[in-house]
Amino acid sequence: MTMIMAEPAERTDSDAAFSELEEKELVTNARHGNLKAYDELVRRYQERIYATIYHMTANHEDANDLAQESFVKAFQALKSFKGGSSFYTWLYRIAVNKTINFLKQRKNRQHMSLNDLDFNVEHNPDLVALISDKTPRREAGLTELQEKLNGALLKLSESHRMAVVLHDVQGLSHEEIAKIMHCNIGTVRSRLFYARQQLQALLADYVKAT
Amino acid sequence: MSENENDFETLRRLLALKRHEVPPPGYFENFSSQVIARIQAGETGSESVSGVSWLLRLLQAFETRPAYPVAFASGLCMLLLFGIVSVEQNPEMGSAWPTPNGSYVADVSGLAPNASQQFGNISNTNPPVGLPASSSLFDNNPPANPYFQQVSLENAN
Repeated sequence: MTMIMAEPAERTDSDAAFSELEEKELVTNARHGNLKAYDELVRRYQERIYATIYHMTANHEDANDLAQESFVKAFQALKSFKGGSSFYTWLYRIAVNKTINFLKQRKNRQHMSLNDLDFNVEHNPDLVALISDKTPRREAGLTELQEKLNGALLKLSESHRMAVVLHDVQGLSHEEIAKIMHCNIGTVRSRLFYARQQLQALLADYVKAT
Repeated sequence: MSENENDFETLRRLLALKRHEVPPPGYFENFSSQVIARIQAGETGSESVSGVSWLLRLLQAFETRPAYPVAFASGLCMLLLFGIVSVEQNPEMGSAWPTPNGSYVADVSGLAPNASQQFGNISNTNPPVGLPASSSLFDNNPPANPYFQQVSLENAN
């Protein structure tokens, strides 16, 4: 893991000015080497890019490294960005390709390093129901459920897992996923269907009960 | 497809758990500055690491694909076997064979006929002497050699 220590971010007036700029203007400025403009672009998409990679790898450290590398690579490749798609789709594509390559390399040594669940999870009625008295696995806590869910996701192929993560977890549309994954919408739908089928079989104890 | 969507409704609710997995508090506060720091470091340091990157990639390939180190080791073994077989079939290639007393004798039969004479002229100040051919190695009557001197040890004690 690459760790570069950076000073805690302090936002100046010029940074605030950048935050009001349109994405296109920020991209144009960043293409000319303006790091403040690029910093603003990173801030806009860091959470979504990190989350996608984290849900694919089930490992915080790997996700941190890959997310940073994706942004660095995107900056270096900005000159080749023609604007045919949105910057957001283009950036996603870089992150997705990087993650899939990484996962193929580490295929035989998958190690989970899961993030903690936030406080709101206990107020989510659907999830509470999954571990309530109605289920045969009522002894299972949310943490155990989290581990089972991540373990099941890791058993899917990279392309199937990506389809589920982007659609069912991140909430992207079929069209957006097709653009990001460089395939047609039919392929996205079919990947989603088979991925869900496999997940349902792997998580039968939890899914059948409700 | 909408029927399938309904079939997977419970699964989708279960997958919602993933949205509650969050990185440590304050994680995103420094994220962008770390990215910018890496970009700035990369602009100055990319050239120095490019030399070792191919080696790292090779090592990674060896780690991730067991077929690569096996193929590499097989190749080395084949090369070694080829070397041994070709030396055995063609002793002239590298003939330095041990004699019974442990010293090594180099086979110079392949050299030019006058090579030994040429080397003799270089390393020896004495004039070259042509010895007459002997009929046997244990000839009782050795040929007349100007440097040969018969020594008797009988009266030594």
